[in-house]
Amino acid sequence: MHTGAHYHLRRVKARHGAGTYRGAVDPLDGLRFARKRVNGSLETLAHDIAERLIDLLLDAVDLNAVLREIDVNALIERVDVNRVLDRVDVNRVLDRVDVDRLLGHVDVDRLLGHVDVGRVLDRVDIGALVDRVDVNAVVSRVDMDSLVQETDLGAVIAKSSGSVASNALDVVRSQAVGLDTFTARWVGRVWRHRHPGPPGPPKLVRERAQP
Amino acid sequence: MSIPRPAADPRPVIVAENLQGHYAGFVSRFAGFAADSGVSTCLFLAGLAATTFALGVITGHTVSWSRTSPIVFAVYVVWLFIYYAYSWGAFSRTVGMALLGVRVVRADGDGLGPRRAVIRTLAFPFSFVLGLGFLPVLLRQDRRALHDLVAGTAVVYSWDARGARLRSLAHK
Repeated sequence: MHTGAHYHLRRVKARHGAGTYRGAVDPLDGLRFARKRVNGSLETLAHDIAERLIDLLLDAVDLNAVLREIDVNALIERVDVNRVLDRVDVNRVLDRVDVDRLLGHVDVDRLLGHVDVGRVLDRVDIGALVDRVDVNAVVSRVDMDSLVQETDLGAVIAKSSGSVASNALDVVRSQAVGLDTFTARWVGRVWRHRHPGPPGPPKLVRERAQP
Repeated sequence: MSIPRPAADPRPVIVAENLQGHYAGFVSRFAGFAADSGVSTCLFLAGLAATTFALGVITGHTVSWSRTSPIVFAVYVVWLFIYYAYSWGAFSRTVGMALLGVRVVRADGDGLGPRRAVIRTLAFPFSFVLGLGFLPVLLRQDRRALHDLVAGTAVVYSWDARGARLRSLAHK
């Protein structure tokens, strides 16, 4: 078994050669070595004692009683929440939130019940909204025939349009136009008009096309 | 993949679109002319009767006119010229054309004007030669007769077919 001093001597011998090992031994080295050994042992002992003491203390102390004595509110007031929050990575927190489950817990009807629709509408610019509506497209989707037949608009037209004579004229004109169309179609077939041609003079047809 | 064809419009052609400004067809124009012939003749006969009566009162003699009288014929022709030229120049239509809902315009769609009305009236009788002057109304896609081609005019619909349909629906 090699002791610490024997090991030290061997190192000196290896460094300085065998003939010089007596002159290289520092008498204080032995003391230093011994001191180190003592210190190591003391540290270990102290560590063991501390652990044991802590265990004893924990067993002896009623932590619940201690905690009851603590004013948590005062403790929390001393906490700088902003500094705590600065250290929180909000994105990581949000990534862990299941939004669908969260929304599933929201009672939308109750939520809407708290919404003041009047105030919401007050914030809506009706003018801008109407400007975005294509009125011509809306009107073109109106079935005028049904509108006249099924609403009071027909009664208004009937009252304002007048007489038997004007109705008779409308009938005559309609019949004439129908015969025009019929004649044109048959002549077109016989004459083999491939393209229908313009419906009317350019200025009149263009004016009608523009709203 | 075939391109889907638009659904056929079930409404009659005359109401599927408003025909105002479209070239008038042969039947409307002929019916208008027939109405004008009746109206102009009736007016002429009424004027002739009134003139005869007035002359009878003034001269104290009974005045009668022969149908074959060249004077009567000449007056009748002048009356027809005035009737058509004035009606077309002032109103772009005659009484018969107004009844059938058509009017005369320039070939580009502008108003007629007195000069073109006179030219049209002068060329009008030539269309009656064998009726050939009216054949282009059937055959041409712009429905212009010989006198239209000479005067640079066209005949178009002026009534609101869609409005007429709404009125007819309102009265049902």
